[in-house]
Amino acid sequence: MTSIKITGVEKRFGELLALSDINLAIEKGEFFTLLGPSGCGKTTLLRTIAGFYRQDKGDIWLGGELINDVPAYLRNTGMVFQNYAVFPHMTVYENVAYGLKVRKLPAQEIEKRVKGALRNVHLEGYEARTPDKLSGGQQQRVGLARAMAIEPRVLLFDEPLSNLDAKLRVEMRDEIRAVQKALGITAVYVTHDQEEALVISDRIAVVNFGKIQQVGPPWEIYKNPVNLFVATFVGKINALDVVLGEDLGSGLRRAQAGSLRFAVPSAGTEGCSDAVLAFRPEEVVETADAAGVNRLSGTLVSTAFLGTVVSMELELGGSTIVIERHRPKKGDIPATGNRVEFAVPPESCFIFDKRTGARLRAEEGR
Amino acid sequence: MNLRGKRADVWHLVTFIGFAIVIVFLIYPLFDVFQYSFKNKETGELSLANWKEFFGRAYYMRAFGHSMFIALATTFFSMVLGIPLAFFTTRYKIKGSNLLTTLSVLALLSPTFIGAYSWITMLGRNGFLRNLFSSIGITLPPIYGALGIILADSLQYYPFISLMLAGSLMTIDRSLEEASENLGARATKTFFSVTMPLVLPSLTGGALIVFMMSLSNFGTPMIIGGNYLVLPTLAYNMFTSEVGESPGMASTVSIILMLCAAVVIVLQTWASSRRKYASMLVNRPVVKKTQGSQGFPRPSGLLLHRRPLHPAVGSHRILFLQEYFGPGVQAGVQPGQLQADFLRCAQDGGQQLYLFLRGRTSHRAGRNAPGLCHRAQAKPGG
Repeated sequence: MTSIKITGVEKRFGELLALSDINLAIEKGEFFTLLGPSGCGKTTLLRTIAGFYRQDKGDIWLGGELINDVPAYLRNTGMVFQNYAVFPHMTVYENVAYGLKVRKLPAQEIEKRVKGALRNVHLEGYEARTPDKLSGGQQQRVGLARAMAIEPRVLLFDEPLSNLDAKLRVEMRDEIRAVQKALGITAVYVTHDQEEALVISDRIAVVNFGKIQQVGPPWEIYKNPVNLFVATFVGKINALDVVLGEDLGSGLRRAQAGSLRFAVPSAGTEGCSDAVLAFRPEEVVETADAAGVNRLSGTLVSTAFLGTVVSMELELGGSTIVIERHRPKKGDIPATGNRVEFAVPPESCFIFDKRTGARLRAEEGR
Repeated sequence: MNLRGKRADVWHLVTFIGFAIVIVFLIYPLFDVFQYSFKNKETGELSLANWKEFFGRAYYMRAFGHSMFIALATTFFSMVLGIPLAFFTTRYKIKGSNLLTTLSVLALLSPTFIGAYSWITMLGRNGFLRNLFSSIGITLPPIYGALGIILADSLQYYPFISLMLAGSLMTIDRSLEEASENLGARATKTFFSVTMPLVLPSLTGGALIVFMMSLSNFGTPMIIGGNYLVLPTLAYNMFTSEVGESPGMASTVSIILMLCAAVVIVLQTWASSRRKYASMLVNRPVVKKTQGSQGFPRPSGLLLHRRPLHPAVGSHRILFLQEYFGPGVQAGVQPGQLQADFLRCAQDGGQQLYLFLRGRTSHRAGRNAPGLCHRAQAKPGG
C-alpha cells in the first residue's frame, strides 16, 4: 500500500529551480531516504511534504488523500528537525504532550501516549526536565518522541543526526530505525551522509540539482549506479577519462586512458567513444587472482591504515587512484615510492558517457 | 604567571575607578537628595515630616496614583501598538517597513513635549482637527488630562517595545514555530504558545523602559496634563513654587519615583531570569573568548558585571540611571534646572537606546550588553 505518492512536483524559488519533475511512490512502513549534497533539493522536498512549502506544479498524496491544499498543521506529519527544535520553555513532558494538547485529547490519553513515546526513546524519568538540562542526543530523542506521540501518518526526518557526535550518530540511527520498524510508521529521511543512508534505509532516492537521479535499495544504489553522479556520491570510486576502442570479443571492449589500457564490458557502449571508466577501490584484486586482463602497476604515493582495510593512493599514467586491501597482513603495506601491482576485473568496471554522465550498460540491467 | 599578575592589576584599577565613579557621581549626590527628604525645612533636624506629609495628604497620594495609572496605561497601549508592529515588520514583507521603523525611531528622538504639543495643535481647545470635527457636528473628548498624556506617551514610547521585540523575533529559531505548526497548531496557537513565551524577556524589557520613561516623563504632563498632576510635575512645582519652595518634599517625591522604578526593575529581572531561554536557544551562538577580551576589560557602563545579562536588561539600566539619578542628582544642587534636565536626559536616553539597539540587532544575541548592574561584582569575570 502506498503511503506517499508524489507526481510531477516542481518548486521554484525565484529563478532557482529547487525541485523538478519529482515522482515518487513510498510504501507504507518503508524507511525511505532522500540522499544528496547540500542544496540539492532534498530538504525542500521534505518540507513540501510537511506543508511548509507549496509546490508550484504536481500533486502530493498522503495515504490516498490529495494534500496539495492542506495546511501544514492539518497534515498530521511528524517532523524531526536538524537543530532539534525542542521548545525551550517547556519540560520534556510538555514538549511531547504539545501536539496531543493541540488535538484536545483527554488527559489520560495524553499521559498514556507521552509515557509510551518517552519509553520508546528511552527517556523515562526525564519528564520534568527542561531542555537546557539535556544533551544534544537526549534533545533529539525528545524531538523524536514528540513527533511520534501524535501518531503521524508519516515521520519526516530533516538531517536529525548531523549535529551529534560520531558515536552518538551511530547509536541514534540504529534506534531511529528500530523504533520506526517497531511502530511500522512510514519514514522519509533526509541526509547528506551516504553511509547513514546505506545503513538505515529500505530504499534511497539520490537527489541532485533538484532531480531524482536514482531510486533503489542501498545495494542497488551502490552496486549498480545509473550515472556518474550516483557512482561518485555514494561510496568511493576511481574515475578515469577513457577513449573507447576496438571490440575485443567475448563482450569486452578496449578502453584507453593515456598509456593505460583496459578491457571493459562493451554492452551498451555502441556508438560512444569518449567515456568515463570507474571502479571502486575495494573491487581491485591481486594480480595472481586476475585472468590476465587489466593488470596495472602504480607508484605508491601514500597509505592509510584503517584497521580492517588499508587504503593506498597510487600514481599511474598521470592519474591518481585509490585501491583498498582488506584484512591486511603484515608485509601487505609497502613503503611509499614502491611499485604496487593490481588488477581490475572487467566486470567491476562501470562505463559512463562522458557527455551525459549516464551509465552505459546492457539493457536487461535496467 | 607574570602576565596574570598584570592582568589582575588592571582589573583592580578598573574596579577601583568604577567604584570611585559610582560613589562620587551617584551615591554621594543621591545621599544628598536622601538627606534633604529627611530634614525638617525650618530647623534642619532629622525628621520624617516630609514622608508623613507625602503619605498623609491626598494631594500627594493622588499624584502618586496618577503617575502609576499613566505609566501602566502607557505601557499597555505601547504594547498594543508595538507588538503587532514588531511581528508584522519582521514576519511579513511589508512595503516601506524600513521607513516605518525609521520613522518610529525618529519619534523616539524628539523631545516629549513636542509630541504633546502637536497633539494640542491637532486636538487642543482650538486644534484644527477638533475644529474640523466640530464643523461636521462631532465633539471630541478634551485632550487635556490623563487621556492626552496616555495618548502622547504611548505614541512616543511604543517604539521601545517594537524595536526590542523585533530584534528578538528576528533571532528566535524559526524551526520552533515550524515544529509547533507541524504538531498541529494553527498560526495563532503557535504565536501564543511558542513565539510569545520565547520573546517575553525582550517584551518585558521594553515594557519596563516604557513604564519608567512614562513614569518619569515631565514634558508631556506639563504641556498636556492640565490640572492632572503626576509625580514629576509635582516635584517641579515643589521646587519652583513662589509661595514656599520645598526641596525636602521634592526630594521625597524623587525618592518615591526611584523606589517605584527599583521595584519594577526587580520584578522584571525576576521575570526574565525565570524565563531566560530567549537567549538560551538550543542553537544559540557561542560567545568566543578572544585574546583581547581575556586580557583587557571592556569598559561597559560604569561597572562591569560578571554574568552576561539579557541585552534588554542591560540597556534600561543605563536609561534608568540617567533618567532618575541624573535629574535627581542635580535637583539637589540646582533646583531651577529641573525642566531642562528632564528634557535633555530623555533625549539622551533615547539616542543611546537607539544606538544600542542598532548595535544589538547587528551583533545578535549572546553578546554581553554594556550596562550597569545593581549586583555588580567586585571581581571581574574570568
